[in-house]
Amino acid sequence: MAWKNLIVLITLVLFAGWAFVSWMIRFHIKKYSVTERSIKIIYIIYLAGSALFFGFVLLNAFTLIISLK
Amino acid sequence: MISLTQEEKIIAVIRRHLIWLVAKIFSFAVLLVSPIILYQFLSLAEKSLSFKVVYLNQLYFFIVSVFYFITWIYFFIDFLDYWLDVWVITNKKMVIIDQKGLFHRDISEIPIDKIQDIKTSTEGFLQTTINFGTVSVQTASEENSFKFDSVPDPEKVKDILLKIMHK
Repeated sequence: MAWKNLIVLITLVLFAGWAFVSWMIRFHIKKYSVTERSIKIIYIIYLAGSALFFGFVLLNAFTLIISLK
Repeated sequence: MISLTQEEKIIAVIRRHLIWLVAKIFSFAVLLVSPIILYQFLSLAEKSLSFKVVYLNQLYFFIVSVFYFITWIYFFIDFLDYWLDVWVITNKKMVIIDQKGLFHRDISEIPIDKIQDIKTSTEGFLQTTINFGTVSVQTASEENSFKFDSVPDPEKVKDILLKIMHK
C-alpha cells in the first residue's frame, strides 16, 4: 500500500511541478520577450511534448500500481 | 519590455548563435537515448540473476518516463534562457538582459557614451569556422565589464557599436 501511495504522490508532485513550470515559462515569454517574433509555436511544442511525456508517466504509474496488487 | 525615448530606435537585437541551441538539443538527445542503452544492460543482468525480478520492467519504465518528462521540461527552461538572454543595441544605449533559470534575471542599461572598450574573441575550430565568439564591453559604469558568449559574427557586433559610438 505504501508503495502505491508513493507512486501516486510522485505523479501528483510531477503534475503540480509541470503546471507551475508551464505557467512560469508562459509568463516569461509574455512579459519579457524583447522582439515581436512570436514563439507561440515553440510553446505549443513544449506543451504537446510535456503532455505526451506526462501521459507516459500516468500510463506507467497505472501499470506499476496494477502489477503491485 | 524595453522602454525607448522618442528619438531612440533599436539597431540590433543579439542572441546567442543557434549552434548553442543545437549543442543543447544534442545533449538532450543523448539523455533520451541513455535509458534505452541502460535497459539493454539491465536485461542482460536480469538473465544472470538466480531469482526473477517481477516488477523490474514496470518500475524501470516508470522511472524512465519520469526522467524523460523532467528532461523535456528542463530542456525548455534552457531554451527560455537562450531566448531571453539578449543584447539590445539602440542608437542611445545598450540593454543587456541575462536570464538565469526561471527566477533570476539581470538587466543592465549602458548609455553608448559610457562604453570605453569593445573586445571580441573567437577561439577554437568551431568558433572560427562557424563564426561566433565572445563580445566583451568595458564601460565607465559601476559594473564595468559585460561579456556575451556564443554571439554570431562578433566582428559585426563590434562594428555596429563602433559606428553608433562615433556618430
